[in-house]
Amino acid sequence: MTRVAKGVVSLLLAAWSGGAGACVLGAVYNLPIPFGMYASGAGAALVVSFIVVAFVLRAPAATGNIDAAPSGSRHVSQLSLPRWVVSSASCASLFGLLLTIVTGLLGSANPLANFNMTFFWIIFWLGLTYITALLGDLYSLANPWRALCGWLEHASPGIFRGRFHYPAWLGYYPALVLYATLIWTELFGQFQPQTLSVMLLGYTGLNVVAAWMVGKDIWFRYGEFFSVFFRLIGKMAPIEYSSNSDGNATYGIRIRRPFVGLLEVSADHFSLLLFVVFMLSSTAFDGAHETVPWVGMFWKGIYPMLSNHIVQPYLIWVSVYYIWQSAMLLLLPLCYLAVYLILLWLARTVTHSGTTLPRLALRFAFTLIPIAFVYNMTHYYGEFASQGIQVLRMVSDPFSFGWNLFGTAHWFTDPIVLDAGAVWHTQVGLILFGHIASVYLAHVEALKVFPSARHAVLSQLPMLLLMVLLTTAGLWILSLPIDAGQLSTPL
Amino acid sequence: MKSTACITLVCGLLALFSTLQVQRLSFAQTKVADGQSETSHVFDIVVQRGKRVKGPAVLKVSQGDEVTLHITADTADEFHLHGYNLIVQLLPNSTATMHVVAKLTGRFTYELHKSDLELGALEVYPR
Repeated sequence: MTRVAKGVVSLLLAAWSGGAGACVLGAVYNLPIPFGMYASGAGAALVVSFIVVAFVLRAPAATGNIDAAPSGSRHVSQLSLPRWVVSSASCASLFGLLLTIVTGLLGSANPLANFNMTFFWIIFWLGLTYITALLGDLYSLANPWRALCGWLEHASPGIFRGRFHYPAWLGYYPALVLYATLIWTELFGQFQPQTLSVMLLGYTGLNVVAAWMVGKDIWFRYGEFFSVFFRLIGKMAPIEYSSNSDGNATYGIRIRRPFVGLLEVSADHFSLLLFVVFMLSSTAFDGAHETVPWVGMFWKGIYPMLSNHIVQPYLIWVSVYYIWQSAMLLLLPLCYLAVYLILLWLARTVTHSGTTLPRLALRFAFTLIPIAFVYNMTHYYGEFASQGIQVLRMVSDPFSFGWNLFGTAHWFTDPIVLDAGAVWHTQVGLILFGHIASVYLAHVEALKVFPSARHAVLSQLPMLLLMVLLTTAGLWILSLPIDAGQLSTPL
Repeated sequence: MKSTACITLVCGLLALFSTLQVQRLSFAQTKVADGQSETSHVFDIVVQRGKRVKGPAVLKVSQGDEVTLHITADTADEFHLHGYNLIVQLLPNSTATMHVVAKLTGRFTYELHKSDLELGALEVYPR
């Protein structure tokens, strides 16, 4: 390599290394769970799996009801939501977006002090995810970008009818790319309030332009990744919102059993399966990427090997370290996907099923969502509890001008730290709960896919292994010691 | 279906509560159990040219322990212990001291603010 080329590479790597950072708000106080708790949690997952399977197998007639329970069937009630409620929610949502952007541009440069960081990352990105799992896809009612497009369309009818045909092969890939970009910037971006505002402005422009190009309905179904994310999470909820065609109420509310929404429809594109797998793997990566074994993989494995052959300053290796971390973020979903496909292939082989592997992969995709959700919750709920409540204080002074609009500006001045023992037990409990839900759903789906009882039993063994593997991996990551100061002491 | 769903729900709740010791569900500031002695720990942390050259990366203590940190850096900076939200000012090549009674359990990183340098973490384990 010439000296000039080396210089260019060094500069590029140095620029990349600017992304050193952990969680955006840096308020995670979780301790690794003790090994005994990890081991008993994994054992409990195994035992509970067999209990769930036994019940599913004993009640095949009952489980069949899930398949045969369309909208409006028994145990389902229909309500409607007045138009003004949806309009008000859309206005509030758009106001929230505007406030987030403006406070980022005019308010404090301190990420922990600025309203926009806490509101976007903690209240919207974490809090709305948890609310959606309980109350359904509220985001679909009040998506601020969709509301903005709706208003633009009202002012200029036909603007979002779509200029270009959206190719079927593209599926949900735009949403997946945007989702991965957000996670990357969350983990490795040098995030300041102003950066977030600029990103949100850019995302607003992107949504308007993309909706103009391919049509509003198409874009918000396949491309706007918050819509895709919250739609998937909302499938777990006992409440579903749908458009009414009666001309009066805009949205209908359907009450259903929790998690049943995940079995009502299958993934309709391979990219949606990848999206679900990325939900799993990105949270697992976030939990693992600062642990001692993971960091050691680079500094004790890759770094000594490479530095023996390539002489570069230490800071360059720090940059290489972040490139390696970013590459692993993108590679990990492929590892999860490979395990998923191998075990499905095994299920297909032992049952001699005529259903193709891609078809099977799509049919079982949504059964992974409960595990993905509890991965998310166990990893972030401490941050949500400790930082989320600060929004009550910040809302009184969103621009850090010294205001006290609601009299709450001096609340919660001390950090809120949850008791580590309580956090550990909640984490293991949540992981097991997600495991039970996923095992149950996978086995109900198996009974629908594989016609004979014998085939269904056989197919469930690899699926059981898959769920136990995912749950054990989740618990294992929670038990790993977390590294500290790794960049100052690589060896 | 209804009975199966109920059974599944019961299984879920059983699993949840078997692992969740409800009596421990309280916010921090839990009192240390009587009869358990608190220990005092003293750690020296030395930072030179943007690197921690002395002191462990992770300080492991038990809830209720007393922790004393002696921090020395070759530049003026601000040492911040997250969670406890304690800050001491550092003068070049002069040792500053921070006393902490480890009431809160969890993992609390500490850093040099001006250098934006994460030095390590204080891990406080429940007794």
